[in-house]
Amino acid sequence: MKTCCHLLFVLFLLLTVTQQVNAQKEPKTGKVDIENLKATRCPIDSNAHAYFIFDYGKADFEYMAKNVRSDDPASSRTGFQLHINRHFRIKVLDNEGFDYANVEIPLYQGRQNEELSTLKAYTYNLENGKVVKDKLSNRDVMTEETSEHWNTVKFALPNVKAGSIIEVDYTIRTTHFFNLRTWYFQRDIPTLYSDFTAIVPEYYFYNKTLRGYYPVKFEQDQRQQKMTITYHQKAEGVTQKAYTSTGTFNYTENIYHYTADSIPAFPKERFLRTEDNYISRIDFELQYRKFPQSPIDYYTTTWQDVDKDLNDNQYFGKQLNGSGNMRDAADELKKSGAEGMQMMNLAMEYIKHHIAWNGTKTKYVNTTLNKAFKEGSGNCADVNLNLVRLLREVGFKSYPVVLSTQDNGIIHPSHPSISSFNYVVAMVESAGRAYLMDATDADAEINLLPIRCLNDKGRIIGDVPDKWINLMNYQPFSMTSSILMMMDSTAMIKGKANMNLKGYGAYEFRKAIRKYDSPTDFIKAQDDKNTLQNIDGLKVKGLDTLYHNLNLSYSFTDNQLSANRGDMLYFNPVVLPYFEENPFKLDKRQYPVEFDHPYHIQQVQTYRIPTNYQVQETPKSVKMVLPNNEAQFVFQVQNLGGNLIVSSSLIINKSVFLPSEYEQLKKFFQMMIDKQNELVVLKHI
Amino acid sequence: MKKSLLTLLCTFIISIPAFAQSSRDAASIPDSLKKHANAVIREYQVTYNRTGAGSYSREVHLVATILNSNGRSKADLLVSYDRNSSVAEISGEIYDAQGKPLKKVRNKDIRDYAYNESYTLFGDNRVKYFRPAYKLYPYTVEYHYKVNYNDLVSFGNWAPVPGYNTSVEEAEMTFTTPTKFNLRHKELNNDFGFTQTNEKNTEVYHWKLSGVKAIDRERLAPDFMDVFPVVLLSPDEISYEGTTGNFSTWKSYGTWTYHLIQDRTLLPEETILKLVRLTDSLPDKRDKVKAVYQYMQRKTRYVNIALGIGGFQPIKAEDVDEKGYGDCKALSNYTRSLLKAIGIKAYYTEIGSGDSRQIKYPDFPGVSQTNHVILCVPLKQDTVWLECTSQQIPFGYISTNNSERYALLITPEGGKLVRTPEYTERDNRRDSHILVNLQNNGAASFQLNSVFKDGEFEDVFGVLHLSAKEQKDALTRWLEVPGLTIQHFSMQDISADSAKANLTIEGETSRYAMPTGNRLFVSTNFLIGNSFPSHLRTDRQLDIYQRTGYTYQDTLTINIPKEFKVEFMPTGTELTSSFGNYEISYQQNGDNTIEVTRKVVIHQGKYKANDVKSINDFLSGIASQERQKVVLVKKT
Repeated sequence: MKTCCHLLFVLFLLLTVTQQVNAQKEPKTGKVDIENLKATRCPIDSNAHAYFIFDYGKADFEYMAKNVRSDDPASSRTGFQLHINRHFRIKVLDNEGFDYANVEIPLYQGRQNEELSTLKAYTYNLENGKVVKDKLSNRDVMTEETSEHWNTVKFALPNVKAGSIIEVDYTIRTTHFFNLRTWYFQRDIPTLYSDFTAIVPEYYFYNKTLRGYYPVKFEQDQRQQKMTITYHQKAEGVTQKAYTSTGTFNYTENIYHYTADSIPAFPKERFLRTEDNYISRIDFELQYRKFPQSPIDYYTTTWQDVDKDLNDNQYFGKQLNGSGNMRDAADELKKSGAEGMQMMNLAMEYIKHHIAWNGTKTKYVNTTLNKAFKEGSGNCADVNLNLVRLLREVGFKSYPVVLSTQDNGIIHPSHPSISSFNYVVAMVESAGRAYLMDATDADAEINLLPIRCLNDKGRIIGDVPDKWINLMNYQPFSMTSSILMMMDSTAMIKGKANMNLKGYGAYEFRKAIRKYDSPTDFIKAQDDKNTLQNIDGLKVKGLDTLYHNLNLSYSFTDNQLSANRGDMLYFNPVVLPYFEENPFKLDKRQYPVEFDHPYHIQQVQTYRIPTNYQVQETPKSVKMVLPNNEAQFVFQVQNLGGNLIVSSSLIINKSVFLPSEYEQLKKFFQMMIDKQNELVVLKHI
Repeated sequence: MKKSLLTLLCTFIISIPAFAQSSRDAASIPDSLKKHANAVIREYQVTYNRTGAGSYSREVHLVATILNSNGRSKADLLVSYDRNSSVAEISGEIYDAQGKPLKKVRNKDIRDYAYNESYTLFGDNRVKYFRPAYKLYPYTVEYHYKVNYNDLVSFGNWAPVPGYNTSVEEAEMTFTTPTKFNLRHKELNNDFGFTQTNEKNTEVYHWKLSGVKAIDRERLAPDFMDVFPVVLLSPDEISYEGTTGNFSTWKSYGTWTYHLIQDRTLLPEETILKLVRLTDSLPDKRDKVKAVYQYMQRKTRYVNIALGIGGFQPIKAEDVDEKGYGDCKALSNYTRSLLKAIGIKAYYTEIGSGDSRQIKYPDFPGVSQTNHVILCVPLKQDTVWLECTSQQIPFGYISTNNSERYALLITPEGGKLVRTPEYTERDNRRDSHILVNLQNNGAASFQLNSVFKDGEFEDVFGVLHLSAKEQKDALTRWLEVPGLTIQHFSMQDISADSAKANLTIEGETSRYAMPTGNRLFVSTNFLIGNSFPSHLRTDRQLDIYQRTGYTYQDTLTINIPKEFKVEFMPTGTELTSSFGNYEISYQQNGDNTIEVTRKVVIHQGKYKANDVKSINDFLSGIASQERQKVVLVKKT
């Protein structure tokens, strides 16, 4: 999509601008400067409750097998270890900032457990003009076995008051090299200075992805490093004498250094798919490893490698070899004689009904596709890769499409990375057209993916020339409603409403209606102002028939006008306003507004006015258009001899509005809401 | 302020047990049990077996049919335990709509993780948890598990109906205990066909329940305990982490608690000197208490660490003094110790906080009715109550979470039940003065000045101490004003004898009146919305609880543009009902000013479900009154 590309372009542009940040020398732990303690507000945000004075991170490799013993094979296996150090100070300005004085450090537990090797923490307070320091005592540090794979070290710093500074300095030892921990330059409180250094031996090559709005300065350097390994041979039998030999190896370390200063807090805003697209951070992902006299161990480097890795993976591509237990299903479906989209749909419905999604988003199957099918449930790969197999089995060219869901952030085309994908859907290519399918969601249709999948582009894993496929803009949210209202001589209204929903409109309404005991309860719940009374004769068509419009029709009465006194009647003719209130209320917006799909909403309301009343005044017709037709609102009132016709339509064509366009968008919404609130005046004659 | 003390007791308990294969088949559910139901408890058997003063087991067997996605949480297997208990058996199976087995729950499917409330930094509660992935409804789950307990303070309550939109086909509970241990029990909202039999030295208690229909959730619903069938259970003799006690009376229950808190008041000499210096010059005892309370508020913060007996015993005052943090027990005990150091007596007081928990049954002592600790300071004139877990709550204000209910004072002579103060409709007030300068196009500038007191104060308490920008954003979202621009505002805590806050705003709205050609339709918008609903469902099933009474008093002055004159003005009205009173009047002052005054009083009260009609008459009377508009017309 055009706008999305534009947005990404802006993001990358910002990142490539080098910023003047003066690298600051890391202060010593345990000694705080009195000026900071005296501070009563954050220099870059007068509204902050707490802020990072600084936040240093350092990832460093250390070779651990310094002494290799002939009688202890394990001693040579240790190899490199990764030490991740974090050292920060937070100024707590008031009580609302106290949460930052409770610290949690997660540690991965797996084949090799991560360990906290050092931990120092202090609280500093100013008392009678002097710095008073409280040290965190070891007995107040607790480790929780949070879940199978995670422990959490937790502690509360002592004596934290408004004005305190807390300091934490710890090191994690780990052998999980694949991802260095993501470093966030931006957090939910302001950061005056953030500094991350990765010191990587020449044997490891990382893919580095820098994201976010705020500029980060990058410097690269090298240094020479020595490692000295001592080999201890034990005497064995007659021939082998004991000896010790020492070898020294020189190698280069690459130093990647990132700094940023004066980073504002990341605000929480509505209509933002995920913070992850905009928050400033750096990710390191291992590309390959190359030790002297050893072949290269590739992880990922290019998109082609990503494709290959996925194809070769036993939990992805390997699962798609052969038909497995899909053959019987395919035979059954073929009997129907269906073809084309009809057949695709049969296959998709078959999978929906036979494998329930367990809510897990992943691109890898849990165990095997056959097993998931047998058990009747599985993760997203279990469901959708089975769908690919079935589609192939019934004769389609079908491929998996890996993607990143909305909450997982956007894929960066220039930064190949296998771990950025967290989801997979199925695709069919037929007569030059692409058909996307996700069987994890009962209400999803062909080319109508669940909202979570609507996130820029996905990658087709298969033999097609163009690997990237747009996930968005296949269908709009479409709603057409017509309401006919007969007003009798006492101004009592009897009405008939008819709503027709298509695309994401039908999708979202189906989901919403199912949350209620009955569609009637749903309609009642929509009318929380209780303006419509005696909702009756509700008919719902197409609730369970996907691809068909969802149609709701009902009749109602409204006696509010008849309770009115005086010889004039005034009423708001819009029975179902698009929005009760403006979703955009705040003055400013720092990040874009993102809509999931286009909107096409149309409404016609016809009032039949009794002969004892005469239309005195009506709202003026208007048409409002945002530049390039990005959004359009039309409101028309016609008085045709006893029939008052109020029609309006809203079209939103653009999915991403930049912060600079926010004010206009907000105004557009306000004007639309105001218009829909305007009154018709009738006079008794 | 909803921070609880006895996390141990907050432990969520699904209790359950085996058999008749037909209950795996969703088609055999009677229609009457499907109405309003998202899930049906088919079979539920709980078996307690007490073996000693501090040891018992609880075995559960549950079969539940999940009818739709809203009932999904009822398919959860959630077995909680801690360092004093262990899960001895756990198994389960999932069935499809016809009752055909789909999947056995294996050990590797069951996750085990730390399970503490969000306000708890560290605790020892853990849970074994499984949620089936099955999504084709209906389907049925069957679980069986057994937990062995090596300590005893409570058996928990048995609520076979877990909540709204869930029906129960068959449920039963059996409790076996050596005769020498007394079991107290109390049945709510059902007689449960209770029987008690004796065999040699063993007592067997039995409760059963069948065919309980699902209830739909409604606004202003009564307390859970007033709606659903519940069996309260409590031991007399308890044995917990090396302590023993007797819970047969509140007095003896309080004795156990007193032993846990009695030696925890020691403070460093330096702190005592500081307190003496701080309070010495204050002649009035109440002022001394206030000074100590505010000292505590400045010095501490709320952090909950709940380990073993730490769920009931406060950490020592000297530790709070050193670290500056604690939970409700620790901070209340600390404040009590500070007061003791200057010779003022205060009682550590257990209470149930919020709507979901309180001492509702004074004849049923036990830990399961409390979850919080506050402080009671008896003074000659009156008694001061202190909520010690907030750094900002005004002195002496304990909020509607703790007001008007029983609380248990822990005294050297044991526990003593007392009532906490009430906040009435006269205390909980919102008074507003609004000035609106209306323009030709319907836009207006306005000034608002409001004072919020006691219960109404709680509405704004959450934003009172936020930063200016956060306050402005919160006000922008909260005020019911179209196209709002706030130019100036201030929010202040002006609490003195009661909790009070002041809010002033100067701003603009793009739509105060609706223009149509020659007219302006002026809605009498009081800027801050109403807390009461505009109507209740007419097919109401549940009694109606209005938990707090309150009063709004508003004066609205509208200056109209000089090109317009008043064409129509509503006549005003007075509505009286058992639910509340409402009066509004309109007056024209000179050519260009309209004055509207409004007073709303909502009474505290409990009403029968069939009172809904008269309540709705009152509410819709208000709603239609507030839709009335003053009509202005252009002067010709």
